[in-house]
Amino acid sequence: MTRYVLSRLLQGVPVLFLISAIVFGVVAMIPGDPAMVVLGQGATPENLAAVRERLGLDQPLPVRYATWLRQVLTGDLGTSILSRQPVAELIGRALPITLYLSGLALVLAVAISIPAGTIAALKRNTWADLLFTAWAFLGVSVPGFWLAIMLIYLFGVRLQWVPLEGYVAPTADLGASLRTMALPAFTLGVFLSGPLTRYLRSSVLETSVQEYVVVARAKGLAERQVIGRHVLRTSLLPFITMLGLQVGYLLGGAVVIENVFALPGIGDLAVSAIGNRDYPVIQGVVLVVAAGVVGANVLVDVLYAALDPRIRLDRGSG
Amino acid sequence: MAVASNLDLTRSSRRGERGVRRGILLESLAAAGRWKTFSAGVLIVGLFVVAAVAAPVLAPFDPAKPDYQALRQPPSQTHLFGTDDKGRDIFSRVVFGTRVSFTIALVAVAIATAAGVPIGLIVGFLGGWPDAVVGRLIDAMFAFPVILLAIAILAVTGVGLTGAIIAIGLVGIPEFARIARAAMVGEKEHDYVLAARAGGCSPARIVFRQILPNTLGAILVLISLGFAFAILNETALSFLGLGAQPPTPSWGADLAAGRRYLREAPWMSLFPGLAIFFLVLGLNLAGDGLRDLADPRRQRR
Repeated sequence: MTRYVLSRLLQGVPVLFLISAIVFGVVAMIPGDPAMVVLGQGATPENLAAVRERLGLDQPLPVRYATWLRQVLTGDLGTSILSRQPVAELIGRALPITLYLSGLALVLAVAISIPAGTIAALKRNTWADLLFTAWAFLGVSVPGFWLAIMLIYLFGVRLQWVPLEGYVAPTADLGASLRTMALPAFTLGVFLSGPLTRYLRSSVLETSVQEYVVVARAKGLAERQVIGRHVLRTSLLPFITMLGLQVGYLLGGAVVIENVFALPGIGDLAVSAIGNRDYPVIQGVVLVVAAGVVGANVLVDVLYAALDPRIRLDRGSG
Repeated sequence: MAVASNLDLTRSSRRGERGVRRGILLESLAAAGRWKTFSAGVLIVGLFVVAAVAAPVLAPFDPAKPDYQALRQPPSQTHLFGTDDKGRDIFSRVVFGTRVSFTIALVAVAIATAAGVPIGLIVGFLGGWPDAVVGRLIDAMFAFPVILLAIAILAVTGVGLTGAIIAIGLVGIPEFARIARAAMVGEKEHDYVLAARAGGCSPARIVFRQILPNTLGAILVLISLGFAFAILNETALSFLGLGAQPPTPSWGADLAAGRRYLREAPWMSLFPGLAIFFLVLGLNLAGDGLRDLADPRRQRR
């Protein structure tokens, strides 16, 4: 098991390097001279050359990449051009809000999709199946930001059950905090529950024809036990991997939803950074989020192995 | 199919003869349903295509012309969807917005297809280290949330319509490459490939003349779902103010403008969003129906 975990962790390393190279490459392609941004329009050629040298811009690209990577590995993501604050600090403040939103949305999506996917599979080709399939279709087709606005209109403007926007930290006032997060988390959760429901449905369908399920039925186990202990337990394993794959999807959705509800998360940070041409912030956000997605996938694989002995015996020895 | 009929045996043993017959009936209904799904999707998308092509005929008003005598009017007989904060007819803007969305999606999907499909087919065919390298690269690309990667690309191209098209096209490449690669790997072991090779066909000819036609089903499904993906992301970027810029009639940008008047004029937000929703739904239905029709193995699911 330890060996499997270690090998899985090591597999993540080249992917992380590729990600850092992609992020660095994209930012290096941004037209315009960063030295000019630092000095402003009236800079003299001598000053520009001096700043370029100080920023290391006179070095060849691979050297610049190596220098930048060394800084990143020590936790230095550069400084925001606009606010002059360290990018790592800005992200450190925004990220918990995004994780809070995504976490609530994930819990909601799982709470919807496990019963929905199971029932849809067991009652295949019935009204219940049709209903959940329709739900899944609507979930992937509805634009999140529009659903969010419609929910704000219904529950905020008309019924006045929830505040229109703004953020309250859970540590300050948990009740008020959850009330402000209800609509954003629901919007993001609906979006996610569609693919999850459909995935679990096909996973349950596949498991329910396995021979050991037939045996379980044949030996007279109650249907509840067959489903709960034999079918669902096996079907939930690939579902966990699927959850890991949705992390990127979830964080991408959060970018837009945060904007609608004026939540000061990383999405909000990235969107306002591009408006202000604050490239170090964009670079930092994209890098941290992508690394987080890789980390989440590794975590899910390890979790999967911990839950399924077949995997760790198979792959761990190889 | 073997797996599936196994399921029916276990079911029918509990339900008896009637159960089997009911299963067959439901199945033919489901088969008809798949055609219905596909046709419904094509019908919805077709309506939007008509709207895009015939926009000047269908739209009763100039979508860009302000009318300060008719600010934020609710839906009426003259203004089917109401008017916006500048007195412009929302119905006309939604109809013309179809053109903007289609243009962006068409070009973006073309970029993703033209780059992603050949890459996927070629590395899938070659295998070995090119496949491993590109595979790793695709893995790495999937770690970036689409919108964030698009934002990073927009930093290079500059914010606006052209930038959004390029960004959405580029972020689609890994998915297109992945599916094309998978289709190729599944296809290249067939005997006809071996026959072509034995017959002295060049690798390029085998990939593009022999194998490509057989992966066309998977690629068509991908294009149709890719369209839905492009529309959703384009409208999201425009909503964030990073895509189409006002006064261009764009569903996403119009929604962002409508949000400021949500209390007084909710119709400004309602209709552009409904348009996005129905078009994406149509594309998803068509793509999903197509997938089931193209792949009989999936039909029983």
